[in-house]
Amino acid sequence: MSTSQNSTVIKEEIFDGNENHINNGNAFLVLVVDDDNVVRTIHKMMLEVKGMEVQLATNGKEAVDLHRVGACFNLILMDKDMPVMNGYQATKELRDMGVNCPIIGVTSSTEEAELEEFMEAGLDDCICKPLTIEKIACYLPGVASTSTANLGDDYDDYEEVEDENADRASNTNSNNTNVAS
Amino acid sequence: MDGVIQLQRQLVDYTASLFHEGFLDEQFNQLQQLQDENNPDFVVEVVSLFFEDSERLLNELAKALEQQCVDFKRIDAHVHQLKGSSSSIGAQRVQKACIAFRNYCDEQNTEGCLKCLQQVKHEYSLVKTKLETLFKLQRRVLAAGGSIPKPI
Repeated sequence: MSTSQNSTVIKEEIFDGNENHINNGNAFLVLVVDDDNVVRTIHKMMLEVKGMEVQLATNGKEAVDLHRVGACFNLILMDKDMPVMNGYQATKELRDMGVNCPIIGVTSSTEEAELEEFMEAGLDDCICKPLTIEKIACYLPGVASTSTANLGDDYDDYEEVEDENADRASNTNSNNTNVAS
Repeated sequence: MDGVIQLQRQLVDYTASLFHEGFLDEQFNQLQQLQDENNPDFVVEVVSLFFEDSERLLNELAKALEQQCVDFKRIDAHVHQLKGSSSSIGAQRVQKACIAFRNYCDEQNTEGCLKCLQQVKHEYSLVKTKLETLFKLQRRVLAAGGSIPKPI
């Protein structure tokens, strides 16, 4: 398995075949590769609220084709099971092409043998869905790991909303959220 | 003002019940955290996508299991996709039903698959109804001039 390093942002502007700007040279650019529309939408939002720029691909071939036209990314989130070209094949091709940014496998599979096999394609890491920012925080700039609240208590402890703005302000402080801008 | 607070309490209690009964899990909470004034309809939009995709997949599964020669690989792929999207929105019971379904696919057990399909359809139908009720409650709160409380 090849070892990759975090790539630096390449400060040049690159366009895909449809004249879409795919690297503005400044933002941390993430490629989300998944055949599921729901998953793509959620992952895109999760990353964008943390200040990342996100490009989408619906299968491994699209991801490879983007790189063939000169795209480069700071991070790739790669689903495993996709039509046309799956995540294993796409990761192998990308590594063979010399793509060395972190590639993280994101899969619904929990079978250890399947995860190990996926890793062998050249992944830096492999995580199980559902994706959370917590799981990939170490790969994202300016995003620290946070501890999540106990879900079971969240709604049971809901306080009366007499002054909603004051409540939200005090709740934000008490959550000990630590997200750098 | 009392009316708004009462509606908000109702909304919070209903939401809590969905978590306690296992219909939703932490992932739904994550989706709600992503919604803000810039993306006020994010949760409804994503859940609507989930409804569309799920119904398509369930139709495909029903057709596939009617075939004389059942393609278990194809069925497994559809169930895998449904498992992934249901876990991504926090539809825990649908996700769990998909796990059982995949086991029968591995065994190439048509009867088991058919039973699981019914179970998945049942759980999907339940969570769809629950979520539609939730969104209706949220709209009532907003219409009354309140805002959607977020969990602490």
